[in-house]
Amino acid sequence: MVSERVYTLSFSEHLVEITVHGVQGEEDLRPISDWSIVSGDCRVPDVRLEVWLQDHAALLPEAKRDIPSHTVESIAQREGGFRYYSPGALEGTLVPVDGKLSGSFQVLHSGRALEGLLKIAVSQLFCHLGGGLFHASAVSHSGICFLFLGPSGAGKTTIATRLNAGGTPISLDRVGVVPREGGGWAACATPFSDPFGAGTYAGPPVPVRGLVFIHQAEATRMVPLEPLTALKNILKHVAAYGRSRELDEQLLDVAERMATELECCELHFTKDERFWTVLDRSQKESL
Amino acid sequence: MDPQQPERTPLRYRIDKDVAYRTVADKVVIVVPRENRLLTLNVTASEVWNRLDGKEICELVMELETIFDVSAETLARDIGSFVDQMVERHLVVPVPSGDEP
Repeated sequence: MVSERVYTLSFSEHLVEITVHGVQGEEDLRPISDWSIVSGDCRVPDVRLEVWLQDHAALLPEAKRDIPSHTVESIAQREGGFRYYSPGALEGTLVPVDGKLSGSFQVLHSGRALEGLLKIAVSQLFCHLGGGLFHASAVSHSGICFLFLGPSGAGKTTIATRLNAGGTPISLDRVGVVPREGGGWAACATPFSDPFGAGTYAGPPVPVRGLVFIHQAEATRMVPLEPLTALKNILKHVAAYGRSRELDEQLLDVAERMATELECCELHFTKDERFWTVLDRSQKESL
Repeated sequence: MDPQQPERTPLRYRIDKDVAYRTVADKVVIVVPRENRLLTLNVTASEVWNRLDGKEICELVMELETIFDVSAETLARDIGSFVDQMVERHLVVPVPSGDEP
């Protein structure tokens, strides 16, 4: 039976409302239904999405049916907003309306495509707020937090899990960063991780003290980074979907400010006890 | 000069309007749109990049001669090679000298 569902996702005081049309079964919605859903929240959502689930053929032009899903993604600025197109996965626009974002999309009957759409929307939300979305984990401690940035498998979750003993997990895989009033940056949860099974962090954004770029290595050591190296590392870990000149300019601005305003270092570590010694010592010095 | 070849109109060069970049600590960091990656120029190349704004190679040589302790010939060769690479990567656009840069 085809139906319509409305979900509201909450993360670090932000709300995304998503109305999904053409739902044929729970499989269509699994990524959303696994995330933190709130009800009865009367605030105006930061992002409002109308989504029509489509079959594969409806999303793929005749001439491009040999292109596999998720391999092509484009972004173009149109009439004050963005148009996204990924053949066989999604197509639609996201535009700012009264300081919020509003989007209308056709998405493939596939949890992966729907999750992809939400990553686009949340990434655009944090850009809209003057920051960005990053491949990182974050744990708050005594009112501040450090971001641990790295590719998949680098150890973001390992580090966040270890630090969880003395702090509050914000996110394990993707972290939103927004500018704070009066200067500095704050970290926000995203709907894409359910840290430690405790539900998505819904508290206020947490001031960021520093950025730690993690690499597994033979020896454990911390290396402070110069602003140029920090800038390049920050840009490498931006979770941006599609490109445009305006977006590139904004992300360069954000990365440049973060590189100069925050403590940035590289953590080379081994997954053994020596790692915790170095990290604990660093934490004590920083906190 | 080969008499069979028509004389080439000198070109001016400008940074492509779709390219975003920043100068940090005397080095230029460029977001390369078509390659989805970052390019960091060394200090010398950064000097050239930041002076491109519609200049011919010979004009760049004259400006940079006063900064770098190398001959005009060496500068012309190095700047020409750098600019060619940037054009090849669609980061810099050549404009015939008669046109508006």
